[in-house]
Amino acid sequence: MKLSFVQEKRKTARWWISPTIIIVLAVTVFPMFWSLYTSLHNVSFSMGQLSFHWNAGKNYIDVLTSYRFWTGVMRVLYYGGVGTAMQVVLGIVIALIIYNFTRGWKQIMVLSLFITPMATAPVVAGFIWRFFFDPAYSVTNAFLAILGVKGPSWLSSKLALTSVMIADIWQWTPLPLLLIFAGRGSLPEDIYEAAKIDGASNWSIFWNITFPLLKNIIVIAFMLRCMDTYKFFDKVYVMTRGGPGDATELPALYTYLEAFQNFNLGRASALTWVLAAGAIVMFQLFWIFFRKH
Amino acid sequence: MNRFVSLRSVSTGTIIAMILCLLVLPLVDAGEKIPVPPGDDRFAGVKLNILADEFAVALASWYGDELKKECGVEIGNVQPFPSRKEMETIMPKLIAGKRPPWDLIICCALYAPDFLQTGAFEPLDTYLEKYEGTDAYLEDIVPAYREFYVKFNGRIYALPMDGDVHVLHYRPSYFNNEEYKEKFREEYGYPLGVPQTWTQYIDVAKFFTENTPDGIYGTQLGGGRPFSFAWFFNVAAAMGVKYFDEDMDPLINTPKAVKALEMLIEMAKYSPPGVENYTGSQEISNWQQGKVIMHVWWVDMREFTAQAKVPIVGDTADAVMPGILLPNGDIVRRATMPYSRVALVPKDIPQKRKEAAFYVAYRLSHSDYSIYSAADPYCGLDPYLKSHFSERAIAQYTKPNPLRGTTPEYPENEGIFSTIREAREHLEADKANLAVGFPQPVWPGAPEYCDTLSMYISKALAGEMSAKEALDAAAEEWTKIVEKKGRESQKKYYAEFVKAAKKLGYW
Repeated sequence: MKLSFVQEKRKTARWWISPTIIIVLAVTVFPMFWSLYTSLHNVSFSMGQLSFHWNAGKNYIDVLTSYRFWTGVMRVLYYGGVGTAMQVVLGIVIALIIYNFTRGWKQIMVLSLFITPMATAPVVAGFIWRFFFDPAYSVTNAFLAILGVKGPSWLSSKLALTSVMIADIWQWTPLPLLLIFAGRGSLPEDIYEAAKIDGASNWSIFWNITFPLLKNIIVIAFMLRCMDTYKFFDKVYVMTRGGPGDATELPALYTYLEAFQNFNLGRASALTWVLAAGAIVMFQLFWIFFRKH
Repeated sequence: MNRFVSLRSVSTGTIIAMILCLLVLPLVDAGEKIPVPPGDDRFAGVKLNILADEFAVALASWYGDELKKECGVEIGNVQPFPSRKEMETIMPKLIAGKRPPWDLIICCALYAPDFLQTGAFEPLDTYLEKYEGTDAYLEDIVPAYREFYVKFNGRIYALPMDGDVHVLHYRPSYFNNEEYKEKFREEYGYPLGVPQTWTQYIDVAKFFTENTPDGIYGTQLGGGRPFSFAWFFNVAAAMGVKYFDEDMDPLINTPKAVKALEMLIEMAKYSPPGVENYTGSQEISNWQQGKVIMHVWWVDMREFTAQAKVPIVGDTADAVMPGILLPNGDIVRRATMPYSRVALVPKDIPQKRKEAAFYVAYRLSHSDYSIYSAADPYCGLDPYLKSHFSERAIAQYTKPNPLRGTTPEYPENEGIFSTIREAREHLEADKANLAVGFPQPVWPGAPEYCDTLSMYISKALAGEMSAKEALDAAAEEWTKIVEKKGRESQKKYYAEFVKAAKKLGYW
């Protein structure tokens, strides 16, 4: 049967895009199903053999009844909630200060200075902050000592997660800052002029004009940072490796340790699926909440 | 052309005879052992890639030229990895089903059984049989290290590169101070001295913390993962605590174990803040800065200190571990033997490389080389051969390593101790602790047991959990690990471990 011109074109197009589809299937879909398969098995290596034993979802039960998993979830909620909120609030404050109080090359200079941490590799940032908080060589405590203040043990069990959070706030506050700065720049100035003529205070202008108009950008910034926090790994790995004890063991690090330290590949795969499900649910709830408000 | 004709003209009988000769030759050869060093270019053209932790990597760099002179082997790429990251570095390569990119691996002995269980490593007994003097070499290995680290499933798979045991380190000047002596006797009713029991240890740690200037502490401990278990077992094992019973039910949460952890928590009170996260560098730093008066650490702390040329050099000493006083007046002491290093040769590499890798491992492990390495603080290797405790070895601690020069990475090369007396004391302390050693777990799954227990110990030290809660939680996790690894196979491995420990009088 002779194909029409359109059919012919579609057939050719399918041939042209097939390598892309194959690659996508190979690098994303296949590993996903492989991971799902692995998560339902007990995987062991012995005498050169990799063997899979069906365990009927025991890996999922183990994960969901694991003390380390749930404490990790609680930590990520604290970390995500407090850390992300701090980043966004600081981002708003600094962005608006820079926007309102600097102009021209000075603005560019100040902005560049503030976004420098974001240009640092997270692992390098982790090493820098580990040095700042090191129990033996703490630069931060040395500085505090000059001011006559006895610094705390930053990487102790009580403070370690907060210390890592400080490092992360230092590095990632520039992201909401940049987004909000750009957003503020795109707002029409005549609204502000009208508000000033009407005698609105600075706070009133911020609360009634800037904040509502930037709300969508703030939500995006918040969500981006939340997503990063959910999979947060690098700085924790470098600064504390989950310690002391499991004080900074977030779910992503726990998954890594299960996979590459204990080589419990089945359980690690189950963890990734549970985390993925959690992420989907969480971000759906996010969207619903922000759409409603 | 003529060659083809002549080959075709060879009779079938001749070919059979030739094949027989080829089969018999190796057998004849096996009877005649290869001299060491071979004195030929036996491994000329072989370039070995070595993976070693950040300290042991020094061996390849120091002795490469000597080894090349001996047999023609060249050391090619030497890949260092951060110590304690063995699993992440090595295991993925082993299970990927491809040829590993290294010809020789030097790693911590704790992780070796997990690697060996994959079947990716070459048994080395047949290689040892080929060389002269290997019986004497095997006999030279300290029995504890030979039993626990060299063999796996009844065969020799690893050669020792390092022998570790915990030792008590202290600052004699504080113990000899008349003022402190008098005050201590007044407060505690017995003379101040190097603690013989853990109860005394806590008393002394408390006393010094309370009676010395701010910032100086009576003790410290390595409370971080994955080795805080070793500090726990220094006390717990002396109380008779073992890892498991014969059915692989954990024994780490018995009342005695809880008491041991409570004692450790008490020690942490007289330690610098944050000990629950100490994993090595902090202890070294505190000790070298004179912030700590006594502590338990690996034997080479004194070497690192001497090398650092800090003010406390000359005011450090080592002793046997404190213990538990029995009603009859005897003291039961146990010194955990954590870490240690071994060399492994991958199976899936060409035969000639395996031969060369074995030779290099054997030579580096042999006292011809290791007598110098053990006394050289730059590589962090500690005595593991009987000959490392000989008079010659003691003297070596006062001399530079003659097999290496200085480089920017290793800028100094001089004797660690200024006197033979110091060197002798140092090795005597090592030997005394080895005599009361308590082996680290060395069977497949050991790293996970150790890390899990260490994690809960850290939590107890941080005050997040009571000793009982922490050990109960750790025991529960251990049971899960046993089930996951397979109870029957774990029972088999553990029975072998206990058998070896009993044979050595450690159990």
